[in-house]
Amino acid sequence: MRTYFNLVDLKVIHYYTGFVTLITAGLLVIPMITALLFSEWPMFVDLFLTLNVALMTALIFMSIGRKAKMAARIQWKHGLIISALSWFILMMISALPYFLSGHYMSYLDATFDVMSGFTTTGVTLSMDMDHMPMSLNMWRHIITFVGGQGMVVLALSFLFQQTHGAYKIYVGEAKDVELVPSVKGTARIIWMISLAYLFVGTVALWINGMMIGLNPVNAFFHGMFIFASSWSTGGFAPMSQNMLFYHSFSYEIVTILFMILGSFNFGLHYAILKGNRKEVYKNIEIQSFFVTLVGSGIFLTLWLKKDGLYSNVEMIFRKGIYHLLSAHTTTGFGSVYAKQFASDWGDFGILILIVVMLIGGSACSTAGGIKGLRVGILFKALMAEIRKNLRSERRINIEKYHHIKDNVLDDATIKASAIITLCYIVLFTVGTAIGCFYGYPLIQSAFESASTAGNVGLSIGITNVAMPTGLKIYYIIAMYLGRLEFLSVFALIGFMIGGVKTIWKRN
Amino acid sequence: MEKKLIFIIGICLSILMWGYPIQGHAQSLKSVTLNQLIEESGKYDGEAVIVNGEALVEIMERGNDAWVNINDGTNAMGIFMPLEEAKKIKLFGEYHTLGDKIEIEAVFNRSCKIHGGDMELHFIKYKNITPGQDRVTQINKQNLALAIGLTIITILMTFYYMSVSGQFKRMAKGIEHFKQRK
Repeated sequence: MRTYFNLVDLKVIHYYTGFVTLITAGLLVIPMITALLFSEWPMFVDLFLTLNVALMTALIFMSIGRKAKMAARIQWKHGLIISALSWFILMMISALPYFLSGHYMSYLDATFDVMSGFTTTGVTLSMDMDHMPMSLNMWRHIITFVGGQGMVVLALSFLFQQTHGAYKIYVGEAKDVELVPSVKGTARIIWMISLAYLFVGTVALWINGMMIGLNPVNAFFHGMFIFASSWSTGGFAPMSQNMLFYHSFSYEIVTILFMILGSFNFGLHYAILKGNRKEVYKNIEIQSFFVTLVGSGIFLTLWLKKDGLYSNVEMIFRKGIYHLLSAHTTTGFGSVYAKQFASDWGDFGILILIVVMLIGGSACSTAGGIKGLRVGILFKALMAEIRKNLRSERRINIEKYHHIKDNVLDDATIKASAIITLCYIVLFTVGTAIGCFYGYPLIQSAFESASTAGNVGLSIGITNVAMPTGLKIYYIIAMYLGRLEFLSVFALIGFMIGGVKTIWKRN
Repeated sequence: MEKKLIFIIGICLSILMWGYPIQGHAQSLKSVTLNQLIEESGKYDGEAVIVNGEALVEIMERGNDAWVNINDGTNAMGIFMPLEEAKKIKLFGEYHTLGDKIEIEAVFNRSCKIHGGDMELHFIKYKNITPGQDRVTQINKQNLALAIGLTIITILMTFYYMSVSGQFKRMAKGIEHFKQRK
């Protein structure tokens, strides 16, 4: 039998998985400080316990792989597995304070919420969220903020020296834009962009929060949490009513701005920062986003107007367009109750949201879904194919698309886009089928499946503490696969099956 | 005599007619949960209802009015009320406290035209306010003991890792180098 992995591979995977875990574990210090500030002593102990578990896990992994650290060169298979394995381990560890807080019915529910945070989905299984400690809310929103940028991206920005093949770990987390030649530099730029927005966004929402009647302390923390969710296209909020808690048009407008910015490619942000403003309207992803947003916006407005529930322009914007943007950017902020989608929006309204949730935001952004880049490429490929059939057979035309730079639309690009799109459609279809199997109506199952597969976070009411365990597990898998864009998780599964086979044969 | 009788009957009828709508209104008011309102929003739209729940976080002032969000255990919803009425609530629910429980009469709106389509309640009057209280939160001693135990193990493991990966040697070299430069 052909062996894909040897001992050195195992060591490389262990070392870097431990390294990603170590860096992410360090973030636990922030909610610990929050717990001290708000005298949340039980939560402080739970977070401290989790920090130790995380550090121990990281040290065990790094000890196993320490000799391969410098000796071996990171290969594609390593990168994919390191990313997928890190995400899984971090999900298990990060769920510990959730579970110990008593706000989750089971460890499965806690891991569901963590995966929802890391993948910037935003669906939640928490109980009594309105009495949740500030420190736990801080941890939930750090998870979603870091998840948006990527834990691997965070860890890579802390590399002490240039690591051979670090780009392959970076790609494993479904990021591919090289802003500067070094991966460490690219990771740092991604974090600098995000932290700059964190400052601006928190201040904007802090001021707005005070204007809508929150006291300065609550306004600051709510502002920071809501920014983290907007920018990371996460959709978590500190209160159970989500955006409906604030009853404010201006607060919603600020979140719209940051969720749109968050759904754009980091390469685009960097290009604009470097003065290349033309990129905004030349980029295929922005064109794709604009077309799908305007098209779906017109249909949704006509539908809601016909339905009559939202009778004036403000209502249609705040309820219709806001949720359309929330779905399309894969944020998942909601200012209606989950059940309202089923009872008030009608099948056509729900269908529009399903379509935009599946399309999602931009590649190499904090957003999920199939991505505007792939939709744009497939559309261009279709148009090219039609043109080719209409043209003279002797004429050869090279098709191009613009994404940061001019790229040739070759078969390999089309194939890669088509494969990932197909995977998303399969993931969505299976999720819908499982929902129907458990007795939920087709349209509701499809909505929830699109929301989890596309890492959106809007719910039609299926996701709750009482939903079947099988569905909870599937949604965790769907969020995980959707966020890492399949290949990393498939590589991890292949690696584990290969390992089991090897052990089986030896015995 | 006939005139007196007609006068008395007239007075009685007036009282009955005056009293009837009030009695009818009082009888039609239903105590409902917030989830009932959400699930059967069409049925209760524009109706006066009685709801009760714990006041959350704080009053959000909007001019002479305010928003207070309540949670009744089934769900949470916003109540739009005059500021002076909102100020009667003294304690609000968060991690350290269970807020005042308020029972109110309010008009339920499935999608309020004034407030951008929000599903919410417009305050009519209080029926009752039950004072809130502090929540007792205690450290789990088992978790504390476990955390201390794990800290010791983590420190030992850190020393082990630093020694086997040669980090102590590197640190010693660094200190030596620093001393020489000085």
